[in-house]
Order: sequence, then structure tokens, then C-alpha cells
Amino acid sequence: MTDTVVAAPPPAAPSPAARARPVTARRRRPSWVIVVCFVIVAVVVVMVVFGSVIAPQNPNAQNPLNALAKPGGAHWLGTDSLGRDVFSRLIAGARTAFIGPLVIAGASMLVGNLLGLWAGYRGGRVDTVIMRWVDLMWSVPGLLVIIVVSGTLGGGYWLAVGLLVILTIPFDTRVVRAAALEQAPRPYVEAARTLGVPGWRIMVWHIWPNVSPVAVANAFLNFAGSLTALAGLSFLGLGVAPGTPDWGLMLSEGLQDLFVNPVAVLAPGALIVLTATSMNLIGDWLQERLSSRGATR
Amino acid sequence: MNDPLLDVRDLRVSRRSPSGADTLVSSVSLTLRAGETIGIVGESGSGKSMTAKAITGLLPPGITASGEVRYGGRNLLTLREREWRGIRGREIGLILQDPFTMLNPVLRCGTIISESLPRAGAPGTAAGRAQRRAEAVRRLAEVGIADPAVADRYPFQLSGGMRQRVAIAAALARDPRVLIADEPSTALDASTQQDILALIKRVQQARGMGLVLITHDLRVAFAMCDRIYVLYAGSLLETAPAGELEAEPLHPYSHGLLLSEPPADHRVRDLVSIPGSVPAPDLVAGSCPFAPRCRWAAAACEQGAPPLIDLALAEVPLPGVAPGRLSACLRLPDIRDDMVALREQAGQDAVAAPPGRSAAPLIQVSDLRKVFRQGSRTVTALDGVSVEVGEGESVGLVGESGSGKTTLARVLAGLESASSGQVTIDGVPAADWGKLAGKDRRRLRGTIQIVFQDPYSSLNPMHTIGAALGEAIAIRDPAAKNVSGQVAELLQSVGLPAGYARRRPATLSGGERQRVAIARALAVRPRVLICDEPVSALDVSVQAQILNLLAAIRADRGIGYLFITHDLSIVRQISDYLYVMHHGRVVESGPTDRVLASPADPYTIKLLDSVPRPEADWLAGSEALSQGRAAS
Repeated sequence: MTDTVVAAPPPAAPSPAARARPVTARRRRPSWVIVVCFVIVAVVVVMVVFGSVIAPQNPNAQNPLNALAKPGGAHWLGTDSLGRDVFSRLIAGARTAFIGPLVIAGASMLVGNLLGLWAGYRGGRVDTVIMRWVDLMWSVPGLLVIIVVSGTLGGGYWLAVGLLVILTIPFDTRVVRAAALEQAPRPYVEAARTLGVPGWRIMVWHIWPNVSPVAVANAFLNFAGSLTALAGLSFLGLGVAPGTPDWGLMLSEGLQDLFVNPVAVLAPGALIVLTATSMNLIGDWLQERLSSRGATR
Repeated sequence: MNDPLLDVRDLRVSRRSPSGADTLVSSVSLTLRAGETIGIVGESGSGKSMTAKAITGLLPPGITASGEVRYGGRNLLTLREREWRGIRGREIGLILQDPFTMLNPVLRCGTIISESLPRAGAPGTAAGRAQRRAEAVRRLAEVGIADPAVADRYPFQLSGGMRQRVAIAAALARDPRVLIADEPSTALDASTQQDILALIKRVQQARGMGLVLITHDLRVAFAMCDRIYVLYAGSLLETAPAGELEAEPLHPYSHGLLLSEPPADHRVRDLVSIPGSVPAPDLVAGSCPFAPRCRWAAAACEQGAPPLIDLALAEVPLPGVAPGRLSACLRLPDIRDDMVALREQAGQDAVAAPPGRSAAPLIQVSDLRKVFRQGSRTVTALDGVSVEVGEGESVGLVGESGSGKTTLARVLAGLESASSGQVTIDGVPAADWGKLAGKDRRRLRGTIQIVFQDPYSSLNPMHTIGAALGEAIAIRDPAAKNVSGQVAELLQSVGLPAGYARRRPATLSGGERQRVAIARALAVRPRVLICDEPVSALDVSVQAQILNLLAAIRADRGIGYLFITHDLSIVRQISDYLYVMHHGRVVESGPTDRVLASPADPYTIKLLDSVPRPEADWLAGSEALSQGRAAS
């Protein structure tokens, strides 16, 4: 009998904890809405990567003789006022629509998460300084700052991207700090501290995986937000250089000929809405999936 | 004999699931008469709470019950929600475990009670209001709250024990004939537990109510109940009058449960634990549910679930057993002598601990103070505490919640810094770890480690077991080779298979997680291990496994323990030297056996007295005390 005293159950017997997992923790198949979102994002990504190959025509080739053509024939979605093929420009415009938000979401996630983890885990003076900076940034009207700065410095796509990175960081910081604050007093963090795990490693390796669901969802939210923000800036003429194929710019260029070829305006508008919404929904779905992965009970 | 008040027949509770239905309770029958107390005893996952919820019609959505619950000539399971309202509260009252969440936090206590009172007086008039308030105050007095001002307080302004009293008053407001108490004292301190149980017992006897007490604690059941139903994996395995069950359990499970419980009055050599943990009812359907964990399991046990039969009325009656004892064990005639022998053997006293203390103190704490500031409020958690832990010594630290025992552990582990006083660990002054040099801090990390109370949150849910242990190994020796081999060794040393390295904590049971937490602490090869209530979140049978494991590790590695607990019977088993803490001070200390045999401090005496005992005077003893305390 002594050999059974210390031994745990045989591994074959599933433990009650595994059995009693809540329904939310079960791996659920994504709903059709999420599948559609993934398809939309995949199409946009293909347009970004292979844009020049799959575009039926040169997006910048002008043909004044065939300006404002109706959809059909060689021009599936018609042409704009300079006779450029709208469909090809849509494909080429995916690049600025996707890469900028990707940079903004990625860079602000990196910096914001580090700042948030630092503030939430260390607390005290570090937390005070970081959070007062965040409050300061939040009190600044973001769009106004971009308009003033890029107006002064002459505008440009990458300037707008850079400004949006700085303006987005506080969002990530705040969200991750709140989540890290909740994790920091948990026994697993304290156990790591008593083992002597270095602080940076506790933040990055122990706490971050547990706050990653909100961090990732927030990054997707930021992607969607900056996609519309960048399109808006291009629409106002503060984004990409004139002539560049870009969904926001196409909106403003096609506006005066709205009733001649409405597709030239509606198509980029629809793409902006669809891509932003899809990224948002995928972010929510990922958050749910990631948080079920570590369900404790 | 009078007719049963409540009669449950073949109750079955199941949960809808993607694979059909999961059984939660497979077959439970019980009867309750007026003035009788029955206890439903079982570990977590045994289905005891689901049984209570089924009887009160409070099953969560997706969970259904079948069978029969007869009360007042009706089958309660067929009632509609509207009809239930006439039963719940009026006929069947319910007390739940957690007094912190059970009361509506935005209502005053008087309102909580008067809202459950039968409608009396003219509603909405001043006279009606005054009448209801007077009644609420009278009800509070009945549960031992003499101060009428409590009726105007909010639940959060009261202590846990007071809240439980208010909850009892609310449950009794409509004078139910049956009271169901689901772990009513589990969340409370030992002495408060005694008060609350005594109160429930007194009210029950005064009103002649039937009481169903649901508990995991056999000692509580023996002290309170006339008849006990032992539930395991959704099935009843044994039912018997409380006294007879305590004298001789007639099922291997109840037998094992009794042996796992550390005895309150003497130290045993080795606790007899039941291996493994409670399985899901569906996993053991078609066989004796306990067979996989039973030391006497035979081929016959696997063929169909044995029925619960009255041992005196069986074809071959068991000698010396009165009618009314039911057991679901097939092999009882063969194994009865073995069971008795094992109990005798386990009851033998262990060799007493060496009376002296080891020469070299590893941890020395003198006049330690810790004050927490919250805004303008200050809380003194430690008020001049002096404690010593010798090399390889097992030191117990006993106290109720708020006594400062956990704060002391956290200061020692470097998770908090002391406000004043000296802490010396292995010759290093460690009152504030933040001021230590890196070299010293590393040395202390390798000297002192801590095991936390809650095994569910002390492991990172996102890391595999292998990653968690591997990290600890790498900290001790950054150049460690064959980390996976060392992880397997560590797992083996705490009785887990090496394959667990690939699992995540969510797939482990509470006991298994606590084993991993111990392995992680051992990975840095500490010389002293602080155990902060390491078994209080675990089931009794699993608790014995962990206590045995800790004893085996100590014998094996010669490390010392600072064992923090509220449970005096555990401290008797595991420690050589004992400190008793109360309100941030050490009120008594000395060799464990001496302190427990002849306590000097009144607080220690009270603590010892609050350990549940089956004798009638245990509950009676608390009455006088609690009346006095409530009045003050």
C-alpha cells in the first residue's frame, strides 16, 4: 500500500478538470460570418502581394478619349475622369490601404504592449509617468494634430503613418496595462518572482500570453481604425501623393463624377468598409479563441 | 415513525452536451423526516450540490432532473416555475456556501429579511413598515444578532459569520419546514463555523424542521447529522446513522474518506490516502464507481453497478449490523476484517517528534511589523512577530483569516517588505528584498520557496507543465543540460507521469496542479519551503495525498517547512514546532504536541475547541460563547 500513497492517478484516467471544462472553452468552428471575413481579407492580401501581376491594365495609364466610361467591356468597373481603369486602380490601391494600417497596428502594438506591461507590472512611479503621458495623448484631438503637422510638413503617406503610430500607442498601452494589472497579483506571477525570474521575462513570457487575447483584438481594432483614418487623410489630400492609386484618393477623385460613373466611388468605398469590418470581426473572434486556450477551470 | 417530509426516489441529474448527455447524479434516494438532520457527504464532483439544486428546483439551464422528489404529496420535479414560488422559501429554505455573494449588496440587511417575510400589516403604510422592521429585528435576534442596528447595515459592512447569520435569517423568514444547507460553514473560520453550525442546529431543533446538510467534511457531518448519505461520482455508496458510520464504515470509499481525514487528537505515522480523484459518473457507469480507486477491487466489481442494499436484510445478512445500514459494496463480507485491521493500524500513534529544536536557525524573524496603508486607513497585519525556523525543521503556523500568517509568508518570500523589525534568512538580512544585492537575492531565492493555496491560479495557464518546470531548472542552473530529463525526474518525484510535461494546467485536477507547484518550488532545490494553506483548496482524499507527499519529500531531501494553515489537525500531522497567530501577534508557541495537548493561551484553547467533534457538547459549547459575542 505504501507505493500508492504518494503516487498520483494513472495518466489514462482523464482528470475531472479536463472533463468539466466550460462550454466556451470547447473549440468551436468559426461561423460563416468569420469565414466570409477571412475570404475578404485574403482577397485584399492577394491584391497587395500580386497587385501588379493580376491587374488587367496599367492602373496609371491615362486615356482621355475613354474617360468616364461605363462599366463593361475592357473596363469592368469603367474608367475615371482621366480614363484610368477603375478595377486596376482598386487592385493597386490595396497596397496603401493595407500596408499602412499593418505598420500602424504592428508598431503601436509592439511599443504599446511593452509600455502597458511595464506600467501594469511595475506600478508606482513608472505607472504614473506612463499613464499621465497616455492621458495627455488622449486629450489631444488626433485628426487635428495630423492635419496641422502634415499641413506644415507638406503631407505624405509615411508621415501620416508615423503620426498615426504615435497617436495609436496610447490605446494599446491603456488596454494592456489594465489587463496586466489584473494578472500581476496572481499567484503564478508571484511564484515566478519567488523563483527569481527576471522582471522583463515575467512581463513578456508570463504575463503577455495571458493578456494577448485583448492585445491582439486591440491590434485588429487599430488596424481597422487606421485603415479608415488613412483613407480619410488621402481623401482630404493629406495622405498619398496625387495620382497614386489609393482607395481614399479614389473616393475624392470620383466624387465630382458621382452620377456619371458611380461605381468609381462606390467600389473603393465598399472595399474600405468591408476590409475594416472584416478585420474587426476577425479580431473579436481571435480574442475569444485565444482566451479559451488558457481557460484555467 | 412519522411520515417522511421529503422523499427523494431515484433522482437523476444530467447535462445536455454535444455528445448526448453527461450524467451528474446517477441515482440518489433519500428520506427526511421532521426534526431530522441528514447529511450528504461527498468530494467535489460527487454531485452533492446538484442534488440540492434539483430538490429546490434551481438547476441551471441545460441541466435536467428525472426521478421523484416527493414533498407534501407532490412530485416537485414536475412543478412549473410559478408553482415553485409557493414552495421555495415557504416550504423549503436554502442556505448557500458563500455568504459574500449570497446577499444582495445594495440592500440593507433588514430589507433582505423583511422582503422574504410573509406579507403582514398594511403594505405601504408607516404602521406596516414599522411592523415589518420590528419583525426583521426579531428574526435577527433569533439568529444571534442582538444589535438592531445591523438591520440598517449593508452586507459588506458585516463579517463573514454575521453575513451567514443574516442569510440564515432570510432563509427562515417564511418558516420553511425543510432547510437545505449547502456547505454553510465552509467559507468561514473554524470558530465561526462552530457558531454557525450550532445556530443552525438550535433553530432546527426549536422549530422541528427537517435539515439537509451538504458538506465535504465528515467531521462536520458527524457532529450535526442523524443520518449520513455518502455520495461519490453521482451515486450513493453508503447510508447509515452517523454514529454507526463513524464507528465502522461499511464501504471502502467511506472507509478511505475517514482515514484520509487527519485525526484531530493524535499524530499518525502515515495518512492513508485514496489514490486518484473523483471520476465523472459516465466514466464509471456500468461498474462500481469506486472500483478504479479501490484497493479491494475485484473482477466482480466491474460487472454492473452494485445496488445499494440494506445489510441486515440482505440474503446473507452481515453479522452485528442493525437494519438501516445500506452499502453498495459487493465484497463486504470478504473485506470487512481487512477494513477493520487497516483502521486499527492507521490509528496507531506515530513516534513523537523530537522535543528539542535543531541548533541552527535558518530563518530568524524578530519583532517584525507590517503595516498596510490604504488611503488614510492603516491596517497592522503583523504586530511584532518573532519566529524561527531551523534547518530541516517543520514549523507550523496556525491562525484564522486576518491573523497575518499569509503576510508573514509573503515577507519571508520577498513578496512584501517589512515595515520594521529584523528578518534574517541564512545569515542574510532580508527585511526588504529590494535593498539586497543581486548575489544575495539569488542566494535567498535558492534557499526559500513558496507553495500557494490556490492550485488553479499558481500555474501560468498559458504554459505547459514542462515549460514551467524547465524555466525553474534554468534559473537554478542556466547551463543545465537535458532539461527534459530533469523535468521528468521532478514530475516523478511528486508522483506524476513524465508525459504530463506536455500538458497545460487546465487539463489537470487540483491535486495534480498542486503537485506541479511543489515540483516547481523544488526545482531550485530550496532548503526551506513555505506552504501557504497548500491543501485547503483540495478534497479530503487528495489532501491526504499531498500531505503524504510533503512528508516524503522532507524525509527524502531534509528540507524544512513553514507550514501555514487554519487546520489544527493538519498541523499536528506535519509540524514539529508550532506558532499560533492571532491579530498579527504570536500568542503561543512551542513543540506541536505540547501546545496541542496543553494549550496555555485562551485563543489556542478556543481554536482547539472549534475542531468539529461528534460529541453533543461540541455544538452546545459554542452556544454560550456565541450568545455572549453577539450581544457585545
